Amino acid sequence: MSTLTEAPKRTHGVKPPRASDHLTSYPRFLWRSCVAATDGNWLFYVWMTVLTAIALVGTHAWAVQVRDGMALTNMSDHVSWGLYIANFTFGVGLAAGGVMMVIPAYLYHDKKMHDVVIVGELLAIAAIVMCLLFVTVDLGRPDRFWHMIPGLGKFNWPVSMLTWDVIVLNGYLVINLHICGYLLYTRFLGRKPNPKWYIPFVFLSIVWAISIHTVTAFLYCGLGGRPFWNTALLAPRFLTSAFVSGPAFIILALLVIRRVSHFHIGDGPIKTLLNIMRITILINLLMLASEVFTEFYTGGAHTATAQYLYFGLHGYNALVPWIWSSIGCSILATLILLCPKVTEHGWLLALGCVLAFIGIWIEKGMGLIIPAFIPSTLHEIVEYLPSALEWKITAGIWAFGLMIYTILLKIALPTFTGKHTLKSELKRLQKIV
Amino acid sequence: MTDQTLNSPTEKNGGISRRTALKGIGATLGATAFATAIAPLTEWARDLSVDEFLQKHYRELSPVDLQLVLGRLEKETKAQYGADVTISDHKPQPGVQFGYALNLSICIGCRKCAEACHNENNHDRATNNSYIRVLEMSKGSMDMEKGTVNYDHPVPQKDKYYMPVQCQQCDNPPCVSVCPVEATWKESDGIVVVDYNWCIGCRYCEAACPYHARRFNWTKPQIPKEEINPNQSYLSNRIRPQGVMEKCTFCLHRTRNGKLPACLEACPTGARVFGNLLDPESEIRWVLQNKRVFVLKEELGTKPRFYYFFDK
Amino acid sequence: MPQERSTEFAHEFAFLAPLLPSTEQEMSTIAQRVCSPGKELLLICWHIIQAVLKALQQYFAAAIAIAAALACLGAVAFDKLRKSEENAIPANTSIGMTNHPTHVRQPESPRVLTGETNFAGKPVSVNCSTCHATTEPNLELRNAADLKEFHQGLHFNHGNLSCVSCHNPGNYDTLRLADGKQVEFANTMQLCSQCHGPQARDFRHGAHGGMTGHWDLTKGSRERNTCTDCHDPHSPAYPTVMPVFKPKDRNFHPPKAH
Repeated sequence: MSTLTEAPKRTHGVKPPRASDHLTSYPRFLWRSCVAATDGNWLFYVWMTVLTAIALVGTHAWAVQVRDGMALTNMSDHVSWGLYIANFTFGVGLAAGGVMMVIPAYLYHDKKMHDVVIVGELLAIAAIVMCLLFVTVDLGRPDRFWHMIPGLGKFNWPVSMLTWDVIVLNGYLVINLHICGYLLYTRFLGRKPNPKWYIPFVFLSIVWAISIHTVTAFLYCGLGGRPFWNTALLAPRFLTSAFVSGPAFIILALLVIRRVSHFHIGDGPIKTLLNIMRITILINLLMLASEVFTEFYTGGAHTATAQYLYFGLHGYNALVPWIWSSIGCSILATLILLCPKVTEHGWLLALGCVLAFIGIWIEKGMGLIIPAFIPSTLHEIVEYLPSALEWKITAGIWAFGLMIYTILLKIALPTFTGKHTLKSELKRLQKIV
Repeated sequence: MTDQTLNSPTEKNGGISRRTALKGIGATLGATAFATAIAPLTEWARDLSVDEFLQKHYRELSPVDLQLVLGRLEKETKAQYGADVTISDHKPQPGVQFGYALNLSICIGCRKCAEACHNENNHDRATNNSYIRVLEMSKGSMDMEKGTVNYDHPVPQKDKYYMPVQCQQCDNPPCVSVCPVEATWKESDGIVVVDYNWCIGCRYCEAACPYHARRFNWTKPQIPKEEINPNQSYLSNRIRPQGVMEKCTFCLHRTRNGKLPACLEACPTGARVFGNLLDPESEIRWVLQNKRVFVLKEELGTKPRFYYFFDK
Repeated sequence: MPQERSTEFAHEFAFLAPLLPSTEQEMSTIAQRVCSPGKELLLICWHIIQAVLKALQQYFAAAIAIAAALACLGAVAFDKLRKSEENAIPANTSIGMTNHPTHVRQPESPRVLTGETNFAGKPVSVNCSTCHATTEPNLELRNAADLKEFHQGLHFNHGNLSCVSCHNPGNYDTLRLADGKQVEFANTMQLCSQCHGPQARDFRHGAHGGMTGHWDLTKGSRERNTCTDCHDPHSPAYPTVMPVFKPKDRNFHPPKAH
């Protein structure tokens, strides 16, 4: 902190700072952010310690997996993608779902939403980081990651959908980092953000959010050998479910923020998000119903997967409890969220959101990625349930994602509400001197 | 919780506050724990040479580089498995397009082909890995759902027929399209190969293949020294590293030298017919012209080079 | 000209080569089947050339006649050229190369167990002619069980044949064809082929019977089984065997009872 004592006095004025000022004020902003990110009450420290511990367990599990091979997972040549890719898919949805705050805030100029829109944008950042980690832990040879870097390695673009996904995910990460970073920094400087520098990116991020989940759906639905995925409804379904899980998570985050901090979170944004969820959750159920109808009414060999998933096939039924829990959660969540008085009872709203979140998480993972491999392309049935190691790594990544999200919120909220500004910083420094 | 730092009395004293000290201790502990957590990575990295890490894509290796790589791989095999092997690089021959046909009326389902593949291609012993899977199918149905692979009774059964399935060496291979790093491609003689030293192990190709033709090395293959087939090829049967994809290459280390694939030689009934599609006198051409052949899952548009037919 | 086109086609769509059409009509159906716009364009060009040729034929018959005469001369020269080209480029056909042989294994003439053992305790076997040189053949016999001695363990299940359908009553160390011609045991395949034409044809084309060695005979030889390597001539149905090498994949469990 002593390095900051020779702060220039000229930034006290209201004059717009020159470009050279950023050389001193930007590092100060970063430093302030680091301090804000690591300071907190005992609850914060307990929370972060627990998350760190889980993340470390996950890191260790991953290191063991790299050393001894992926035989430690329960994946096989029959079910070659498991819990990691399932969570990756869900994570992409979560990231895309964050945009559901951006649309009302910027497209419809919802003033109340404007104040908390950053909560959604930061969620996108944390979720994308998780996605990238989930893909990385799924690689058999993470040391060859550089083979995918254009220029250095061989990037099979535009043929491979995975390369598209790499581009859109990283692009989305960069866009959101820029938007959040710019807004926070200008707030920190105490200036009004220049729309020229962020509004185009906000609109880009809206389109981009849709693209990340569409491209991720294209990863799967373009594969002719997997009839369960080979449906045009996949991308719309991904988007719809993303717009359930994203807002659900944001509502939960807002409720938590309201409870553990002094920041005022109005009912307005929550109600807007709730209204979005009320629609998307119904559309999602409708799409589920039409998929189920198409599968079962048509019948034939392609129904085998749906048969296995919903009712079990030839005595195999490992996924049946999962999918029915998912459907149960979704229906219950729908009933709760559609209840007109749900906003009056915080716990009921939270319950609805938790149920919707869990419902979609199962649906995207154990209900979509795994069953496409069962029965296999030669109609062999090999079942899959994640191994302990896979659970550890997955929990580790989730913990890491939550850490990032917590830290980002801790930086963003005080800055956004004008508690951390260059002015207050300089004042504080003067006091110390 | 967030604004208390501003009023924190300790910071007014200047110097290092208790909170800062605690943060420092926490960070140190965290870093130590992290180092311990990733310790297995350092053990794993010991077997990974810098040359291997920086190796270029097979198709970008100069002839000199390639020889160095082959020499290095031979040394590694000696070091890790104790076997003296020769790893060559068999190039496709001009004027040759490989095709394979299988007579379902003759195949008795003895699985000798799968076993031969296992031995020829240096597969992991513990998992009985093989590029061939033999389905026991019910007569009167082409529905694979009615098939089984782990039958264990005398064959052939009266009401069954047997369908071995391996890589179909598609002319429109979905596995090749999906690979994000071009680690797999179709050679000029029609064989789809994998550069085991370029594959990143994402298993997208395994999800894309409609024929269950691809295998992942879930662990380092274990083979007793004396059982290792020493005649190896870079793109074919050399012992694969952990964490990469592999697949049937029509035994290119044999077939590019004019020899028949191992699965064909092992077939006791002669159900398998292999040869050059461009040679009008070849056996495979005769079969395609005179038998009513079909391919698996034709509706997917993969254009297989592996044909099936019935005599009766 | 159509001939030229079809060769071109063969190179591009090698996988269709065997199904290659000979007439133009067939060609267009195939083109529709495989079809890229590029191919269609080629096809249209081909139709235009055809139309032009037709017009030429109708109005300049004389010119065509002269052209034909020239073409004949040219063709002779071209043929010579093309032959040398064929040797140079293409596909690994066997033209102009020395092929390695294909050996078909040859059965030895069978010996019959007498049921006796010699001084060393080994079973004694004799040539067929040892007895059959003097024994009058019984043309009615259709089953080993009807015989008084020898052949008792013989299981016969080969259609409605009698012993002498294949064995030569004139010389039991040989076999005979349906027309009475004598065949050595080594040439059994000739005998079997009389009835089992489709199998013999498939065998001739490499589509029946196990083999080892080379697919490319310019690189090396090939060993092939003969009929009796797999089929017992007295009971030719392929025997049932126990399969080897059961799959042991990770996480692979046998299906539960339905």
